[in-house]
Amino acid sequence: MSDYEDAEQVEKLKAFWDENGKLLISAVVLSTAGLFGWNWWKGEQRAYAEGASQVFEQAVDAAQASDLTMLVSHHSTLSTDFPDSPYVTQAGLRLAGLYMQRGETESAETTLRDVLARERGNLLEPVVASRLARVLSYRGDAAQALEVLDSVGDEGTYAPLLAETRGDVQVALGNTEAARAAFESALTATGQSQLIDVRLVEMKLADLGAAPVVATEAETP
Amino acid sequence: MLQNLREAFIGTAGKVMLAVILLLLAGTGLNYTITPRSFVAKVDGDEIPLRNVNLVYRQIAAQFGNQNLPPEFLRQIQAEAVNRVVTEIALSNHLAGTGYAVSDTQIARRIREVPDFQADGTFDNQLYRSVLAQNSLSPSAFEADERQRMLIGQISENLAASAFVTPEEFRRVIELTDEQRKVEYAVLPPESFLEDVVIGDDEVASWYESNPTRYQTPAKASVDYVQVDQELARERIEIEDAQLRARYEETKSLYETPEQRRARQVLLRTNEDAAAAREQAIGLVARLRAGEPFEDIARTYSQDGGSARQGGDLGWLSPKDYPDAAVDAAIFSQVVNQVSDVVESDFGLHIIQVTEIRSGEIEPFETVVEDVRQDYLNEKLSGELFALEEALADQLFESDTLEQIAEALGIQIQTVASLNEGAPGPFGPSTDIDEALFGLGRLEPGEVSEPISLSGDRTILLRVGERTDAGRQPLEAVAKEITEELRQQAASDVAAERGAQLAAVLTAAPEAEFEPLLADSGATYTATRAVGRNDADAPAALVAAVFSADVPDDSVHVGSVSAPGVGFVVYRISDVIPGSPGDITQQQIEAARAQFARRLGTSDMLALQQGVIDNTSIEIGTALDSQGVGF
Repeated sequence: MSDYEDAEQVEKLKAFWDENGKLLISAVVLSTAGLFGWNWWKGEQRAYAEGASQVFEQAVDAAQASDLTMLVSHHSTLSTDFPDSPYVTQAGLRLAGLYMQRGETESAETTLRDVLARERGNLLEPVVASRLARVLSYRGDAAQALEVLDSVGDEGTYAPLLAETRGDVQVALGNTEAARAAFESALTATGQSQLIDVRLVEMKLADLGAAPVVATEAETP
Repeated sequence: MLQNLREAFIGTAGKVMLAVILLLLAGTGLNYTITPRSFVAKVDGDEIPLRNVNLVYRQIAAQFGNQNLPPEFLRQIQAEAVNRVVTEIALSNHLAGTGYAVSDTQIARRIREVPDFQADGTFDNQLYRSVLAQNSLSPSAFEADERQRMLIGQISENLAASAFVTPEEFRRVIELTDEQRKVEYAVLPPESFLEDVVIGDDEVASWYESNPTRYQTPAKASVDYVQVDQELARERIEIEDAQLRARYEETKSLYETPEQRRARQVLLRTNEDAAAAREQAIGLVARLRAGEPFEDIARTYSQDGGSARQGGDLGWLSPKDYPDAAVDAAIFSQVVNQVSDVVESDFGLHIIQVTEIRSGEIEPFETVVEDVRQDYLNEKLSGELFALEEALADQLFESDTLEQIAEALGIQIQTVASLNEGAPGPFGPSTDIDEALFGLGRLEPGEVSEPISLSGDRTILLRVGERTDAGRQPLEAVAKEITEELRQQAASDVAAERGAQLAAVLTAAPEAEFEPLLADSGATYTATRAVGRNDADAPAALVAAVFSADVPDDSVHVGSVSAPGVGFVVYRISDVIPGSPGDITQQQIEAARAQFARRLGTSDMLALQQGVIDNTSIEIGTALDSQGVGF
């Protein structure tokens, strides 16, 4: 670059500064202030999340020791001290699992209902709904189980799993046709082979008297 | 505070600030440029680290034994590695963004529990750092990866551990998988009815007429050809002994085993107080030269964890084995047992002693003459082959017949007695050959083709001899074949017809005895037995049909099915016996839970993962195509 061009660049810079200097300084000052606010807020958030995570780890220890009392206590600590943390959901799922293991199905139902209410619209919604529906079905309330399954907004990638649960519930309700449709949709959904036990669902379907899978049958009346 | 600012500049807010400044500058005509760079992949706009992809890539490749994997396969592994890293990052970003977190304390606790980082059962910071260094990882990078893994692990483990199986579900699975059905059946094999079947000549003729695409014969031709290839080129290359000797002298390093030296070292790190370290090193050199045992000094003072425990021993080294030029030079310039001066490298300060030397060797010309010859041949080969191909093309103009060409080149004419259209023959699959022999512009008999290149660096000229066009075998030639096929078909039809009659009789009288109905029917009867889903004795098609039949509770089910390779099967199911879990014990439930939970938990996690991926912006870049991974 020649001296002349250099001088020209300097001139341009000066002109730029005269024109925009104040704006630039205020932009820098404002951004810096915003930055510290932002960092402070991020720090607070992280502390909150990490606090919840620590309590959750204690909850996991309690669950592994099958210590229901401790698990209930950690779960309630999370619910009261960290109500906005997703660890409330995780501890709730764990608690419901332990309740089911101990045959306390009513407590499991209550716990899962709370968890489902928290997870509406989230990615975990279908996971929780499916678990709640299975508990309800086991408790003899298949009609409510079906309501819970139908209440799921976006089944997303979870569709084949929900369809299998729906099929089981329909069998319990005696709706053979609906059950068959549900199992069939579980078997034809995308990604099903990774998510469901295909052979088991095929058995469930065949058990309903569906068309044979391998051979053609000359059915006699 | 400065630290915060610097971090912020890398973060979102920093980018906004930068954007404001750049926007203001844009109006001024000042020169600035931002050069775009290629990347492996971006997750929500952030580039994924190539280091992680490399690591995963090597892990996957190691599972396949690392050796000689074909390039397409390596590219698949590459894609899979990118996919795994992208998934892991997208998932951990999602979790971190929705309120999941792992604190530094939790990470530290986890790392302290890793056995690889423990000496005598307790965490050893020195060991931790050296293990990481061996894997080219810095603690901060490793801890960042570990944070990601823990974040994902927390959730995936919890989804699996919180899964449950109700006793009802457990009972149902057992009932279904262990279900048995009581069935008796008759197999009507087509062979039993072959004698009842008569196929008339008119039937054969009409079958032949109505299946015009069958019984075709392809076009074929006999072919004479001359071929030049690598083998011929090899034979044509003349090599004199003197040339081989000259070659050997030129490429001596190929036949040489380099000198190897066994050395030991004391290493002092300089990252804390370099001057003090240097003073200490000089002191140690003096003590070593005064005769103190090297092993003891190395064990006590050396800060190279690996070698210090071995008394400083670095093992046998070839030139350039040691990753630092200064140290390498010291090892290969000293006499045995000499204690070196202090040598400085990127690792710190070294004191080197060579303990043993294995001198290098050169294999004499006589023992490697064949290798030299091959080496020389390979070098001359492509030139010789090219010359042969040129000669072949030239002969096309100078000679009239294939015989003359062969004679001029000193090669033999070869012959293929009959080559079918589309069949590879000795040439391998080649559309050029098919075109020359059977295509629209096909060769006239006696005409010599243009040179045709084949796989394996072969070039041929060919001439077509006798040629037969595609056609259909005459009826007389295939009548026997058709008759046999029609007989089999008709016998199967008879079997199915008799079977259907039998099934109708049984359906009308469901309680009738089965076996007497089969008298003189040519059927084989299998008495009532319980058949499970995996029954190996009954035909597979029968088992499938039996288990999908709808059997009424208080009655029987009669059905029939054609079992490929066996015959037509008529069956009667008299009972369905659900699998019985017996009295379900809590233990059984627990075992089943462990098994199902793994599947359910994995499914839940997979579904979550896929959901996250669907909601994440992922961009795959071109960096891998240009640089590749892991090489």
